[in-house]
Amino acid sequence: MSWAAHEFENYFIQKHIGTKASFIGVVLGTQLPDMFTKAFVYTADDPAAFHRGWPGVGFSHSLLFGVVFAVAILAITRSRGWALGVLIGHWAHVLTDVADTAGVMIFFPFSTEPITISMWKHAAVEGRYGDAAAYYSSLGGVWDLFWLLVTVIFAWRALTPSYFREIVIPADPYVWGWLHRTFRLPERGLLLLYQGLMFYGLGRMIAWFLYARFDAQAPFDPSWGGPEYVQGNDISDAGWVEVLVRTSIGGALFVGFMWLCWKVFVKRLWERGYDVPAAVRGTGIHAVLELPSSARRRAEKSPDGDVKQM
Amino acid sequence: MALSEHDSGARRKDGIPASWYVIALVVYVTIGYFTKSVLLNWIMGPLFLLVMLYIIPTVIRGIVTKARTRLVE
Repeated sequence: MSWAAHEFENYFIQKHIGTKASFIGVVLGTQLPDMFTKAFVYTADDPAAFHRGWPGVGFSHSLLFGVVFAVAILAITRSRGWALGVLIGHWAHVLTDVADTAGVMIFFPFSTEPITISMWKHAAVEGRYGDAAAYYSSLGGVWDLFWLLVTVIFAWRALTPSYFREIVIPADPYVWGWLHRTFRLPERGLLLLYQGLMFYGLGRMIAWFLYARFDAQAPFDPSWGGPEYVQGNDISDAGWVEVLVRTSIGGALFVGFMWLCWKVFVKRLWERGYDVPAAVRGTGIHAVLELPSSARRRAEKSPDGDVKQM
Repeated sequence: MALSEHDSGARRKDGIPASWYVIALVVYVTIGYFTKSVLLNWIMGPLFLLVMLYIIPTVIRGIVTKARTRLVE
């Protein structure tokens, strides 16, 4: 499992969705796979199999799980921004967790084969503190550092007060407005709440790293598949050919199922949904992501050439 | 979102000094290191910045203002 990476990636995503999805939705999505299950993982007989496998709660780390929640949110709230935010956040969490040895059943239930690149060991078997010590003694800690650097270098603007005021709040005015009114938080307080997740990620990364070095005194082993002192936690012993075949079939079935759902009812839900006034959707990928080319496309279409920069 | 006049004033200042964040981080890591379950969790962790840089200063400012008013009276 990844630790602080799940906090940092929220801001990287935010930088690329602009006003097209809710930041709070993205946060909810990134926490969704572990929200109802993590508390039970450390007490399970086989934590890795329980957390990521089937039978177990591994379905929470499948792409379909995020789709189900996003469609439910779209049906209930009619908010496209929230549905998209939850979906993007959830999928980001799932794809980030591909890196540990347990992997994730991306295309569950069409394939129960976990996909993994086995960068570091899934160490929940060591308990919460042991897991932290192992994670921050392996490439897991490097993975967190990588996401911190990516966020700071490529998405630093998403952490600024002006970005929060001009993009984040307009993308979800109802929830930020509700927080403002209910808890009497001025913009400064809301900004701190928004930045809090980045702060938490950085803070816990440093604290657990120090714990691993000085308290647990775990050997630092940033080798591929490390650390060596933790038991192997692969939940599948299939060879790469079998993984490839089963995943390809699962992927094709998943795409087919998604297409069918879109045609039968999701498209209708999307069309009756609403966008906040600040959200300007293009076509294709530009409906979801705010890319540099999105602004150019709007400029080409707009007769007066008035382009709002995100 | 309708912002009050007080908020508009805060907007003009635009931001919090970076040193405040650094102090908050040092405090968080120090307390977190010694009391892991209290701060290094998903509820207290994300709220810590708000508590440390907004709620505590606001409460202290309120107490000081009240005390000064009483002294003047």
